[in-house]
Amino acid sequence: MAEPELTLFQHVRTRPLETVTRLLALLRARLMLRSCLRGRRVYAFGRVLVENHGTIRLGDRSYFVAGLLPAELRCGPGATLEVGEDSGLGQGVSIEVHGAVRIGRRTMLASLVRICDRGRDGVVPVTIGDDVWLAHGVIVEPGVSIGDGSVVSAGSVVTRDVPAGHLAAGNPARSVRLSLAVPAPRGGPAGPPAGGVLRGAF
Amino acid sequence: MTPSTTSMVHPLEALWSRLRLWRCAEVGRAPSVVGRVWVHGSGSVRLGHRIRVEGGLAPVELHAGPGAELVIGDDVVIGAGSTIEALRSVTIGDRCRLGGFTRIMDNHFHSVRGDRRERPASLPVVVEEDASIGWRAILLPGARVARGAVVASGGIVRASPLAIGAGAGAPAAGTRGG
Repeated sequence: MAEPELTLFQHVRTRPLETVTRLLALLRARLMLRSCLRGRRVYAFGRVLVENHGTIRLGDRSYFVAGLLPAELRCGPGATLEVGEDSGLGQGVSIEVHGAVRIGRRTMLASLVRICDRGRDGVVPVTIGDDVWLAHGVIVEPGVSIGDGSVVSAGSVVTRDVPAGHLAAGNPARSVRLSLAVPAPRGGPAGPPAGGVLRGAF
Repeated sequence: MTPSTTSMVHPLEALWSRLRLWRCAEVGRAPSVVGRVWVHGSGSVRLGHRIRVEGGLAPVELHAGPGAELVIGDDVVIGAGSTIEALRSVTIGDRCRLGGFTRIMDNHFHSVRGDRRERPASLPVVVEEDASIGWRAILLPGARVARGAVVASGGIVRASPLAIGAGAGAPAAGTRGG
């Protein structure tokens, strides 16, 4: 369901509070994510701690959800972290990169998700596809790749690859195919959770 | 252990804690808040007597969405970093103990199938009296923890044990009657 685009003026008039929240989030992103390569309209609704010695690329309209715990992005020398367009990272998310971590488009990372690409077997890249949903407290082990449209249940520890369109749960996570695989293509980008109408205004 | 009905909280501390919990619709006698607590949402949060909120290590979040009810009984201890989110109803019985970083929610917030932005229906969560929830345990929508039960640390309780969720913190294995 695509909502109509609003001009900035209409946005201010109909949702003044949300306009302020969004403007603050854009400013906070400029400040806290200043060492990252940001796309257009990257939002930081919550606090983000960044320690960047490599390259962090944040796609257009990616956002950090507000919460009590700050999100943390740590990128080692020569490492690359890529976050796709319209992806959202929850509060307390911790991503530590020593080689390469790729997060796809429209992906949702809930609170306290932990991703690290260095473990027993050294540095092995982690890949998370498009439209993936990692629920609260998921831990992704090094070298894992999660296919497009998959969902990982809350509190799971992902040690093996999850194919596209699967639901993974447990410790270690086991996957089953979702009866409806990859979500149907949508009218537009998902956008931050506060509301979908922002393309015209911001 | 028989719970004490008299409170050890200094009256001034209770007063200060009550001020910290000003967003709650109802707060019982002698509350005790350590560290940070965040109460938000337009629903009603009702706390019983002698409640203890341990927000020192990490802040505690209590959220009741529009029209929702979050009811916490007497002598409940809420550990650091815990989040309790009610979009319809979450009830925690008397003398329950919640460990640190516990997450209780009555809604998944996103649909597993179809459009992820759609919010599914809420399923009320009930934790009965004297239950004990371990550190980093997760209570998913529709979860019901029986009276005196113990949810192991890192355990996950969901509405009904799904076939696929056998290893997910083992809902049945993680609880035992008391």
